[in-house]
Amino acid sequence: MLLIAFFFLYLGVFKKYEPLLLVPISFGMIIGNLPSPASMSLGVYSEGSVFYYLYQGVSQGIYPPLIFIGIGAMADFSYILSRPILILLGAAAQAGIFITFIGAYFLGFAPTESAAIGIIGGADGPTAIFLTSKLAPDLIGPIAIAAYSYMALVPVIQPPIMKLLTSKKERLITMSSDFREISKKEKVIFPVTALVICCLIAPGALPLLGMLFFGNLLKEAEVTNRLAEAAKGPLIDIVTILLGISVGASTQADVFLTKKSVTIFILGVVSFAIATMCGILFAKLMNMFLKEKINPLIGAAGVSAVPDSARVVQMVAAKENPGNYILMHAMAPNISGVIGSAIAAGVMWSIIGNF
Amino acid sequence: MEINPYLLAVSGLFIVFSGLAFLAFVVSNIHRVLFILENLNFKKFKEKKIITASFTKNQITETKKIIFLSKNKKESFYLPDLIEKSLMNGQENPWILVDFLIKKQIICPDETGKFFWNDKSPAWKLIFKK
Repeated sequence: MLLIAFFFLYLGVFKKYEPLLLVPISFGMIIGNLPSPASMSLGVYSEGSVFYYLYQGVSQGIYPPLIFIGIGAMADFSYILSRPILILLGAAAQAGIFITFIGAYFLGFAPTESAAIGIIGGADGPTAIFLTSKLAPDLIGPIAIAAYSYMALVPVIQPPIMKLLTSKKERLITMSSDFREISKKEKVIFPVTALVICCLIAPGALPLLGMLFFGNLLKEAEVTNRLAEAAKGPLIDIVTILLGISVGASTQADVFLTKKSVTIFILGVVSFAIATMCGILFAKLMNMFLKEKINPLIGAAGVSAVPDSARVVQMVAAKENPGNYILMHAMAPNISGVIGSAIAAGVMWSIIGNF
Repeated sequence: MEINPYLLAVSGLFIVFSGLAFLAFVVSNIHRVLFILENLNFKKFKEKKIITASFTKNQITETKKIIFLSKNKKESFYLPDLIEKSLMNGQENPWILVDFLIKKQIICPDETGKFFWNDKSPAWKLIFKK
């Protein structure tokens, strides 16, 4: 486990793969796997230890909604307000979650565990931790590590899939940069309306989406700038540190290095790949009906790794034509992917949680 | 109870998809609804309602008297002159009335510090209607 921790630390510090996540997680892994006297309760699983209490934020699903306030305060929903049809790409990419759920179920995982594994495909660490804490608390360690690792590895995993599923001609499609101007009223109405709609559809998503849209309202209302600044700055930073360290510390070798964990890692990457594929294929399907064609690469941004996925889409498009700017277009499915994966988690929790 | 993974996955994806499609539909129409609401001009309607509700019979009579006192409506005047005239003609609360006239923009200040009778104030109609 220490070797894996050093590898993650190397990726974070020197390769700069999601350093804000990988550095705390990898350091937490080192903390969690250093030998300590059995008589002293030091680890996350020893009741009464400091790490035990920090870990409660993970195991009770407290940190993810707090992170969502920060994400909401940082997110700009005007991309989806000006191109609402691109929201569908965020929905299509969630297919990876449900397809992996079926795969995990047939590999012998319990339905609750399968749902928690499937959600890795949403490429949304907080959502994966939240759902796992509700359905399969025993798997939080491997699922959190898998989800955050794949979020960090977006630039490695997604480009080959994008190239495989699109032709050069498709990757060269340019999209109009003529975005409709969004009024302040629309920006304020959106989080409230979207919260009501999403939570009527999937009430289980309320803790995540409630916080996401609340954070966004703080930003858009413009009268709560201090709160918005706190949410997207100190709050999200503090929670990320606590979450990263405690998730890392939960990966103690005796709990973590099992056949189950390895299978989860494999299923996680499969889920993520399927989600990327579904987004791209759905974009191609949409092109069959749309007058103004969209670049199918933006379908890959339907997974909710914000904003890395959109950045990778731009990177791949720019390789074909350096003057092709589709980052703004990719942000729409990317942000709707966050909403989509939270709804998927809510649906999973409502249905499977009752079995 | 036995779980059917296919049914669960299909229904789950359907809920996510239809939910986001509905959200997209609503989002694409927010600006249209706002446009309609803004053009209904609720603001004007609300203002009219407030004016109607806040005018008492006494205020209307007093306003009419003050207008009668100012010989030429087109001529601008200083506020103390108006108050003095009102007092001399037996008005009990000319300051309250003047405050009311300013709030309703029946009288407005110009750049010189004088006031003028504002023909464009929507409150006029209501005064003479009653």
